[in-house]
Amino acid sequence: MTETGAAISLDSLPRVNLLPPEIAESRRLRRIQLGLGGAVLGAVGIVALLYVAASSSVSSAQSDLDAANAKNTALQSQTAQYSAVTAVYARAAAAQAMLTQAMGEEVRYSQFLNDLSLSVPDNVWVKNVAFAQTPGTSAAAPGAGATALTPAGIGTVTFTGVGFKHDDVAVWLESLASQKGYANPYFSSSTEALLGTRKTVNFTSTVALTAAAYSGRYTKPAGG
Amino acid sequence: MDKLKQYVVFAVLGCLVVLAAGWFLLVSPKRSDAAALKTQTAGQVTANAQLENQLQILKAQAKDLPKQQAKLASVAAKIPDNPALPSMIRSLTTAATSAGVELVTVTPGQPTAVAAAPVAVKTAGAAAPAGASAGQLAQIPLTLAIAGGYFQVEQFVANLENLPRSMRITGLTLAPGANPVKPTTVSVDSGKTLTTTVTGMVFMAANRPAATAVTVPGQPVASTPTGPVAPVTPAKK
Repeated sequence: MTETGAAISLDSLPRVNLLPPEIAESRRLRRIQLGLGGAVLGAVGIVALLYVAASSSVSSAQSDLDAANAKNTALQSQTAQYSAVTAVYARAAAAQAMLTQAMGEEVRYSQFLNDLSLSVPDNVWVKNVAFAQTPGTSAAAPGAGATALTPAGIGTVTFTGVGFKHDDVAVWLESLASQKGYANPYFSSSTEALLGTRKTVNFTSTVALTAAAYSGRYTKPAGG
Repeated sequence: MDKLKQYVVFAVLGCLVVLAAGWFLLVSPKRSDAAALKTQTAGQVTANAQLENQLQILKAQAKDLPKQQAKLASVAAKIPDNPALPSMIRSLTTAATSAGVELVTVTPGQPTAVAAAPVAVKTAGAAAPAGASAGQLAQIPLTLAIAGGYFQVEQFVANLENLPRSMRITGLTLAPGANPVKPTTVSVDSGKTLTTTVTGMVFMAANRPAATAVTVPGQPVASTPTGPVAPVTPAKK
């Protein structure tokens, strides 16, 4: 018999497993046990991996928080160095408010005197002038004065003067009415009299000072 | 076969127990800790951003500090922290001399406190913080009697309105008169000379906090001026 003939004949021979079935079953069971044990270990591994990842996330978040806290401390320290600046600004604002309170109701009477010198009509001579400002009237409602028929104003100006005739007093009142800061020109008397040999008229008139008379130098946002 | 099923059931249950216990006892608390820390960090980052903005504003304000200090000095000159009567007398004398009127009488009253501000103030920033104080405003009534011509009186009033120390005129009467210290033969009725009474008030800030040195990073030390008022010269109209 040649070698080739022997190989062909072995393939065709029947195989016989002499291993007892109990042992084979036992081996199979052990493999399954190992597989199941590996699955449990795999679960433990997954938990461990998740735990490591979560711990790493905690560490990262903690370091971020530490950095933010450190930055906050540094910023607060820097801000504290500028506390004097805030104080100066606050004092400047308070000082400006005080100045506004003190001078908010200022009326520049020099301008009224100047206007008066330019606006006295011909044939009228002013002898006496009296400006009287009523304190604390800036917030008064219109018409809150003694009579609601006339504007309350912030004060009154009283003039006494001389004209040639009663019509001169009328011109004088019209002149007052046209000026800024004046309202409700009125007269209390216009009496004929003799000045030497010349007939004249003595008059007394009043005019209300309005809020337009305030200079506004200390109440405007830009300051005075 | 039943034994095999038991193994599989136990193994599956074991996996589930391990996974559940690991999640709830180990992983989940850590994740909660991380989330809490991230929330804290986010809050701190927001606070830091606000602080940085505030710091930028403060740095910008620090650059403008000289202007604020000048404003304080200006107000301190307008409203000194004491009656400052000597300097006021000198100012009035200078104003009268400059205008060419005779300052006949100066009558100051006693300082009286001014009630809380009735005037609404519009400032650039927010309301002044608590503790910001410029002192208690007090007014000193003042009555002046002067003699001079109409335009001289007008100039004198203009000088008063432009004094470095704030003076608010509340009344003014002009009448024909004569200069009591300069006898003249001219009739009073000529109107060449007027006797004028000016009523008004000057102010002082009682209990104004003392000036303090201001130190700003990167800038030299500067003091906040609120000192006494120097003698003044009224501005010409």
